[in-house]
Amino acid sequence: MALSADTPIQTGIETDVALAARGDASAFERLYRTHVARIHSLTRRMLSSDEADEVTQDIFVRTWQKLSQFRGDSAFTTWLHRLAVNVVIERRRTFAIQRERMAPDPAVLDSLPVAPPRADLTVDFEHAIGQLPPGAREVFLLHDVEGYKHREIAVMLGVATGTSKRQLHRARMLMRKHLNG
Amino acid sequence: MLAELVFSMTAMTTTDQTVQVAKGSKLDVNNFAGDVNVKVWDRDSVRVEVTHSDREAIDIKQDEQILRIRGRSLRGGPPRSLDYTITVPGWMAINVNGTYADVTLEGVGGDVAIETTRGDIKVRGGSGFISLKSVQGDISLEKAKGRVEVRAVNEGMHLVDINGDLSAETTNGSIILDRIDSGNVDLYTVNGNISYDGPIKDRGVYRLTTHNGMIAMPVAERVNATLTLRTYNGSIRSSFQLTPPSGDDAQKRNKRMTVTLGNGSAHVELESFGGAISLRRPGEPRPETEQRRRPRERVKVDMPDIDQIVEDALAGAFEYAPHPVPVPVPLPMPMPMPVPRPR
Amino acid sequence: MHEEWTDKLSDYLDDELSPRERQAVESHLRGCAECAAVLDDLTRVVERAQRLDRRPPRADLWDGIAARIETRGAAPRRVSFTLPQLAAAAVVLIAASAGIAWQFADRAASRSADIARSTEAQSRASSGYEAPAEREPSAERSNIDIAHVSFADAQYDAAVSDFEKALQNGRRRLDKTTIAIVEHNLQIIDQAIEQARQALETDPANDYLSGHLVDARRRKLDLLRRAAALTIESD
Ligand SMILES: [Zn+2]
Repeated sequence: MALSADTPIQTGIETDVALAARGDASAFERLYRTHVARIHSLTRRMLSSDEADEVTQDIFVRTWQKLSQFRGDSAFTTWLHRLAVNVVIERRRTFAIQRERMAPDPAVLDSLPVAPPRADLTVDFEHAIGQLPPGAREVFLLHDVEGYKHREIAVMLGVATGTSKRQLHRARMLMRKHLNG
Repeated sequence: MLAELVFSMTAMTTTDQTVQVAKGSKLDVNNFAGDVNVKVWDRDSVRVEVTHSDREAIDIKQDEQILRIRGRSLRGGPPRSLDYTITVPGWMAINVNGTYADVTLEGVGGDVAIETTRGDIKVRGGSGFISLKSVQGDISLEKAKGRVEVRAVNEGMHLVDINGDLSAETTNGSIILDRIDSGNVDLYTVNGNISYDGPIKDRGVYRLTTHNGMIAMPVAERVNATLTLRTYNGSIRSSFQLTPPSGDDAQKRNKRMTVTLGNGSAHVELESFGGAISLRRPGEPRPETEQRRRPRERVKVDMPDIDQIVEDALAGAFEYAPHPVPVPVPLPMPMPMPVPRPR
Repeated sequence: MHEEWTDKLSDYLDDELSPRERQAVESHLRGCAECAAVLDDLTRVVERAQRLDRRPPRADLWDGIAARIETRGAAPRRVSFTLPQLAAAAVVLIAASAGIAWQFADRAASRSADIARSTEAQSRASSGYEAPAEREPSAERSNIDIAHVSFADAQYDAAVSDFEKALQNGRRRLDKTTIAIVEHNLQIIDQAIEQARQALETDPANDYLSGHLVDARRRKLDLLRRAAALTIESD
């Protein structure tokens, strides 16, 4: 098995962004393959596994459409990720409204029984994130997993910095219980 | 909260200003020409020392995240050469931009981003994202951790004691690495040697590519790696027995080879169009670089030539090669002489 | 549990407290094993969160995206680079993200062979570079082909000429030595490209050579873009 034969020739992200902006779909495919794991992980955790595929596709289609607006003031990856967060947050807001209309008691959703512990610790930790109350989950993912600052999160979610901090602490205190199981 | 402090100096003097900074702040310096020396102290404040004439002003502006330092000519146009000495807390992220700026960072501990067009970059320390870019100028980096990205054009680079992902590219110069601890390495030059020193980690990916130059890398006896070695005009040499898949004819084996060691989990891809690929055991001296083909490097006289340093350090290793060393085929078209380094 | 203290521990961990509060928390932690244990837990939660791996989707989502971005039959968008776009290249990119790892992240990822084949056909029609006449019958070839396409087709040539134009326009904003350095290095790359191309002519089935040619062409584009960006920065 030869390595270089099954190794795509790498290109600079910047080059691919420039090529994709002028309509080169194969350059855009490389950008997709480079970033899809991160974007899909974000959507899967912020939303649900069911929605993640569809929303990930939406994110990349929107990226393609907006690529000509990318001016390079920030790294492409940062820009893409920010776009993804916006799409996801928008989706969560829409979904939350639908859920309120459809479910007479939204608390039911938060009190669904926790799945039995899995052998795979990471999966269990991931699962526990999914069980966090929505606000705490958003902030926990954005801050501790994705590395955004409270100030940035406050802007994204339209809340006060203090709210972001309190939600983060709440989430972490809840996640403590899942450290060992 | 946005606090903005502007200090303007208009006398022929030394600006010496110390500014308190909040944890997490970043230093951002823009110096058109001159030295930027950054060192570290054990205080949460930044001291800025600059000697300048009364024709320039130094602006030190702070918002809650970024401390910005700019020289400004009071008569318009870019300021004349300014030499900064800046002392920062160890945690501070550093961002320096310049055109003819030499940048030296000593002992820094956060993210580092430096870009200059013609100037040397010398960094000790750095942790997180480290990005160094210069068109013409020596780049050296020591004791850095995290994700390292180095881009040069008309110069080589020397990286020592790096821990983390590493990507380095230049066009006309060699890439020399010492004591690297990384599972993700990508090195590329068009005209220059690549010399690597560090372990091959399980599941790591190592890609070393040059058009015209030698590639040298140590390979430990017990290693899990798939080695893909490729050259066109050069040859493959090794100080130990390599066992390529049987059936390859000797000619091909000397140019292209894929070897699986252990379980083969790391991918090591070494490619030189015109030069030799040389493998050795860790601890053995590095191979001699091909001096005959690289007299052009000597043209650079007014700077420590890293290729020269390496050549001196690596001299005399041919005796370690048990196989006869083929004479490299001269390139069909010799590389042009480099532009003399301006100063 | 001392909630008035534990409530501060996340901010303490994130370095969000004032020096005074910080000292107060530290002195409490020295005397309170319970709160120290909570801090320890929180630290581990954060560490675990940071270590969460990023997994790609189970199914390849690319085809769905490709179907939505490609306006079938229509010519690809033909946008000329603006100077700020060219300048984007010189921005020091410190992505709070995949960083360098991306370069290898998807090496093993399978690629859509259909797209590879169709674009390849287009590119062979439009480019001066002939794909190797005799191909090794190997599935592994497709990746090389994709890269080969992107860097040996009309779009690549157009991008190069755009950058060359931008560089020419901005030339007076660079000093002579910098121009000489850039041109010298472009020459070096052109020679490497030419050598690789000639080698490929005599050994067309050599996939190392086609990959190597792609690398050199990529390097040329990168250097041109960086040089064009310098002319903007010098304003
Ligand atoms: Zn306590």
